[in-house]
Parts: sequence; C-alpha cells; structure tokens
Amino acid sequence: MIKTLFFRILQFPLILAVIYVVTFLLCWVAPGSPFENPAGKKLDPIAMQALKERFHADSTWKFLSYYPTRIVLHGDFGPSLQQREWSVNDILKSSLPISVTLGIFALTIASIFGVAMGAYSAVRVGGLADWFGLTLTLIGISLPSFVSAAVLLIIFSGELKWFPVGGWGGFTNMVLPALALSLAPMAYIVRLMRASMLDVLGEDYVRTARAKGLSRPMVIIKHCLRNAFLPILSFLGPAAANTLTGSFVVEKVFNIPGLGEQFVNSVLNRDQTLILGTVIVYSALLLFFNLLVDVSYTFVDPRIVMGAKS
Amino acid sequence: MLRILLIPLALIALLIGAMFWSGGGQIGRAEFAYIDNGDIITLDPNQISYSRDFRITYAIREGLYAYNPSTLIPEPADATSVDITPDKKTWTFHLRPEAKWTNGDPVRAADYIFAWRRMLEEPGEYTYLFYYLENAKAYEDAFAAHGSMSFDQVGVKALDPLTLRVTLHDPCGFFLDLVSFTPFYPLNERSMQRFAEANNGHVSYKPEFTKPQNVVTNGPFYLKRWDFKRDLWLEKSPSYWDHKHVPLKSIEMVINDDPLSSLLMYESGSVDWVTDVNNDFCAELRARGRKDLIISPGFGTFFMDFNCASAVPGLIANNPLADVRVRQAIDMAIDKQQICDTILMGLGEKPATTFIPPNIFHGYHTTPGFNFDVTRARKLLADAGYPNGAGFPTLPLLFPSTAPQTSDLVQDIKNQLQANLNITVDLQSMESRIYSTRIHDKQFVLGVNDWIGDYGDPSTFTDKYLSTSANNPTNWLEPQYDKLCGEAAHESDNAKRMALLEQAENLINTEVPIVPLYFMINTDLCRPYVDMHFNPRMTISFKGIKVHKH
Repeated sequence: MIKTLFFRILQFPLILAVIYVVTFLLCWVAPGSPFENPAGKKLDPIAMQALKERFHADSTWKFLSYYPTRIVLHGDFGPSLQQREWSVNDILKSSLPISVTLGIFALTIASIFGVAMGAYSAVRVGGLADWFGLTLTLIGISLPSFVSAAVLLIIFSGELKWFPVGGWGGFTNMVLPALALSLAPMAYIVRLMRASMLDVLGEDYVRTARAKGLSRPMVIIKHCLRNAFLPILSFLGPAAANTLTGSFVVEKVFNIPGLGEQFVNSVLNRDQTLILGTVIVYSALLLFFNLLVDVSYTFVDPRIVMGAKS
Repeated sequence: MLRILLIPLALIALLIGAMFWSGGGQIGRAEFAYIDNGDIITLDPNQISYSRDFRITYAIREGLYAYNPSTLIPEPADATSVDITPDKKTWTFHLRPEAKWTNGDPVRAADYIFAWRRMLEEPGEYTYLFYYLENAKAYEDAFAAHGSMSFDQVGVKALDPLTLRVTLHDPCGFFLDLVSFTPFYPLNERSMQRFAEANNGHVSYKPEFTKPQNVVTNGPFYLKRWDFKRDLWLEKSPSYWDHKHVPLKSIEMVINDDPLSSLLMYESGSVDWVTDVNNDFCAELRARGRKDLIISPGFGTFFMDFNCASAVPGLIANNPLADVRVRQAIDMAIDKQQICDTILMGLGEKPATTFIPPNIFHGYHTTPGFNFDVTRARKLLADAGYPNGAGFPTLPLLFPSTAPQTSDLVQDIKNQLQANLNITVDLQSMESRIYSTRIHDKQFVLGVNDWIGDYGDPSTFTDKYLSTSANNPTNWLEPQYDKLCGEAAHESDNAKRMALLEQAENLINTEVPIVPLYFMINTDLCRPYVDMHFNPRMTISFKGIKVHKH
C-alpha cells in the first residue's frame, strides 16, 4: 500500500504540468485582454506596451517561459494581471482557506445528515421519514444554489436576523452558506444511502444475523450501515471536488471572499496568472481528495487492498 | 463500528482545523461604512480607471486643488494659490508650506514633478490629459522609444521647493479642474524607491507600493488596512495639514459586489451608504416611499454606436449606415421615452437627443437633436433607397451580456426598428471583454455603450469623437468636427470656446454617428444622519462627510 501511495504521489507533478500547459493554451487563445478595462477608455498603445512589459506578457514565449520557471523555482504564481497590487499567491493564501473551510463544513453537514436520513428512510421505507427524505432530495437536487442561498439569506438574515447578512469572520457567518452549499450533495447522499441500504437489508447475511438472535437496531448499525456506506465513500471524492469548485454562487450571494469567486472572475477578467494559479490549486485538491477516498476504502472495507493485483 | 464513526469525527476535526486556518474573526464597524460595487482594482494613481478606486484616492491623497463637494468648482488644497498669465498658458502654483506626507516629509514641488514624469514614463489610461503640457506627448513617445529627449523640455518646473510652474501649449481654461483630478496628484518618491525595478531599460514601480504598510499619502485619511475581497479601512490622518476640518475618524469600504447582499447589509445597518443601487431594487424602494433612496442626474449618456464605414470586413459589405439619412432615420425611429418608462422603470433617466447631458457644464448649451418622428424616419429611409425597409440588410447589434437591463434594452430597440422601419436587427450577446475588444477594433455594425465624463469641461465628451481618438470606434471621421474642436482648444476666451464646442457637438447630434438613448442617473442609498454631498460626477469628498449622532 505504501508503495502504491508513493507512486500515486509521484504522478502528481506530471499531471499538474499537463494541466498547466493545457490551461495556458486555452487562456492564450481566448479573445480579450486582461489589460483593458472593458468599461473604460482604450489604452494608448504605448501605455499598453509598458503594462505588458511590466507583467512579462509582451510576447507569448516570454510569458510561457517566465511564469512556469517562477512557479517551479520559487512556488510563485506571479502578480494578478487584473488586481495588480495582489500576487496570485496572496489571493490564494487569503481565499483558499475560506473555500476549504466552507467546503468541509458543507460536506460534514451533507454526509452526517445525508447518511442518517438515507439510512432511516430505508429502514422505515414508505413511512413519514421516507417521505420527508424524498422531499428534501427533490428540493436539493432541483433547486439551484443561487435560489436556495438567496432564500436562506432573505429568511434567516433579512427577516429573522438570526445570522449576519454576509461576509466572513465568525462561526455564525459560515452557517447559512454551508447549509446552502450542502443541500445538493446531501440530497444525493440521501438517495444513495437509501438505495444501498435497501439492497443491504435484503442480503442473506442480514437475515442470518437476525436469525442468530441479534436485535434489529444492532444489525442495522453494525452490519448494514458499514456495508451500505461504501457507495457514499466513493461519492465523497467527487462531492468534495464539486463543493470546493462549485462554491462560486454561494460565495457571491453571501459575499464570502473565497476562491470560487476568484476562479470564475479570473476567467471573465482574462487574468491569466490567476486562472493558472486557481486551476493548479484546484487540480491539486482534486488529486488529493481522490487519493484520500482510495485510502479510506481500505479503511472501511478491509477486503479492499490498494494496488492489489486481482 | 468505530471505523464508521471515525469518518464523521475526522470531518469535524478537519473542519475545526480549517476554521482556524481561514482566520478572520469579527471586526468592529467604522464611523462611516459604505459599499461601492466590488473590490478595488488598483490604487496606483497612474493606472486607476474605476470610480471606486478614484473615490478611495480622493480620501487618501490630495492634489494642488480639490473639487468643492457640492459645486465641483476647484478650490485650493495642497496649493494655496495660482498665478495665471492672460493667455492661460502659464500657471504658477504656490504650494502650502505646512502640507506633509504620512511619513513626515513635506509635500514639495519635486513630488509633483516626480509623479507627472512617471505618468509619461509609465503611462496609463489618463496620461492623455497630460498632453496639454508643453512637449509632454513628445517626451512620452521619445521615452518609450528609448530616445534621448530630456524631461527638462516638458512644461513643468520647480522654481523653488514651494513653487511649481506649468507651461501649456494651448490655453486650457479648465486646467484647475484637471489638477484636482487624481492622475495629477503628487507621489512620495522616497517611499517608492524600494519598489523600483528595471524593466527593458525603463524603471517601473512594483504595484505593492500602494499596500497599507508601504504607501505614503498626503490626504485627509490614510490607508490602515486592505484585506483582499473583504474591506479597506481608512483612518483620519494626523499629519494632514487641515486635519482640524476632518470630522470623520474612520471609514470602512466593505467589498461586496452582490446587489442583494449589499442591500441587505444596508438594511441591517452594517453600512451607511450603498452606491449604484440597481434599477429593480430602486423601483421597489421607491414604491415603498423610501426617503433614503437618492436618485440624481449623472454625468454620462447611454447610446448606440454606429459603424459608419462603407463596409466592415467580415460583417457587412455595403453598409447602409454610411448614409447619414439611414442613421438619422434610425435615430428618429426609436422612442426613447418608452425606453425610459418601461425598460428603465421610469426611475429618472431622461430620453437623450444630444450626446452631452444638458446643464452639466456652466455656460454650455446645445441645440437638441432629433425627436421621435416615425413619419420622417420612414421618409428618410425611403430617400436613402430603402422604402419601407425593402432591401435593407440585417444589421448585427452587439451588446455585453453582463447587465440584464442591457439585453432588455436592445430587445426593445430591435422591436421598435422592426415595427417602425421594417428593418431587422440581429442581437448578438457576448462577454464584456470580448465586446469591448470588438468595439475598439471597429469589428461591429451596431453596438451599445455609455460615456461618462471625467472633468468639468465639455471636451471630456467631445474629444471622444475626434477622428484621431482611439475611443472613436464609429469610423465617423469628420474634418469639420476636428476643426471646431481644434479651434476650441486654441481659444482662450471661454464663451467663444463653449460656442465652438457647441457647434462641434451639434454635428454629432445631426450627423448621428451615435444614437443618444438616455442620460444616466446616480442611484444611492444613504442614511439621513450622514451629511454628504452627491454630485453628478460622484466625486465624493470624504473629508467633509459628517455622521450625526443617532
């Protein structure tokens, strides 16, 4: 296992390099310049040239040779081409932790409540809890987050004033956005958990366990839950990725200075250095989460061995 | 069992860790807090182009003169007085001896020369305003080409540390207005030296010099904190020469670019002022009779650009817009009042028949252009060879996809032209950056844009349509217009000058390279206990703002 882990990690830089080159090409061919204010006046050619020189963007070759070298040698993604007082590193340092916190919070809510609700729905299939779970799933999957986020904001901040309107700071700032962000993965987890729990409940070993005298709650918790949990685990990897990269809308509605908004805005602003920085960071996160999920498989189900040849 | 529990426990542990990592913590509220669209783009006076950046700069820096917050007339600030020669070409400013930078240095004539020189050597969007100075343009070009021209030839000299003499090549009656504008503000060279870097044989300054820990300013406030995408915090500057007349102790600019959350923050009392409230919310608030909603005339015009070239490669071969009658017909066939009443929800935008909004410049009056007149429009179109729109090609109309209101507006224009002239417009929405590139490169036939003036002279509008202007995308190259504007630039008598510019603008209004659609407005939400002045240009003077106890 350690050996597999080692090789997986060894692949990371190679994958990231490929992603970098592809992203670079894509943003270089995209029309529009990061150096002009679309609402402002046309920049004088001399001013434009001076600006490009200052950001090493006066030729493609210069741009492509300057920035990757800096990234590899100094871990420095260079200055943002749009918000010029800030380096991409500054921006990542300030916004990545926020998005990660928000994402983990949302994922925690989603997995704890999703698993509990899904399992309970399966046990009480056709009952009130099942009906409730189904409704929630429907809402979570069909309601886009800009609607659910705005509704939460208007009800709990605007009218009831239980939580602050927006911004980042204390725990109270995080509750509503995390809730809004957790709805979609939670809905999915409820469905997944319910289906896989129903499968497991019909298994022979469950009947055997009941037959040998174990109580129903014991069987459910000890035998069913663990086996039914496996599909959820494989969903958590992509869900973590989606929650982290998909936080743009929620961050915007709640005015949270996270990375999701930077990611989208950098593309709109043609801020090439920031696009590259965020893409690399997101890719690294995705690689990491996928690895984490693979490792945790072996943890939950000892029958699965990492890197084993079948 | 334990193994299953470990996963949620690990998630919670991870969450607690992440919370510490993302930091933050609640912060107090400044005496005056406001929301101004999104984040600051840059605070480098050379590169500023967004109004929110200008506003912060007005708070932390000061120039020779400063706009009076209600009348916008320039008043002495860092200078105590100015001597002007009768030909209005030589301006001698006397600096205030007690003015200081936040690092304790006195503000001297050399600081202005350093800043103005940098504006030519490291040019930005507003460098063109310096072309009024003798030899400034020549120096900028020579410097960029690594030429040998000396800066001594440019029309700005320090006669002594407290006297700055500026020589202009044309009489520029509004030069005080220009020196009140942030591109003309001084910079503290000593504090910027450590950010200098060589670049292709030229010196440029790393943008970090404007960060709170680095920046040295001379205005009524200083920049204490700037947290990325969170807020900017300004404190009253104890070293400011006139600090006795600065009532506010602290200002917070909360960064928020979401209209709903901005409005809710205002409603919950977190901020005292929100700029540019969007039309939907304005209509709602006005219907509720809210007294703190302030709608005032703006300093700009929204219009449709025509490409007047006889052919636009790749888009249209025989461009009917090259014919002035077609342009006039389209202008007359659009009911602008209807646009104001429906699309803009009757908030106060006025239908425009002229390029320059009325009554924004003292002593300047234009003759109104064409009114809505479908009969005449149809006749003009028929005269141009397209009776009832027969044989008229479909014209693409480009518009930026950012504002939902713009797409409603162009849809309305399309419907009106179809109904009134029987001509078809093909709407093409695109991202704003691609849109502006297309317009600047003249790769369009019809487009929509706005223009907001920068300083208190009609030339801030009329310069745009000079045939040499980079901001004139219309291919409307009118020698008579250039001649009138040129004569106005050489004219030292203000009344004559205004008359020349009026004639020039009248050419735009009758030759119709653009269809003026409406005059823009400013929409603000501001608490009644805040004593601040709004003006069309929205150059807010934070120095004078008072917050009454409430």
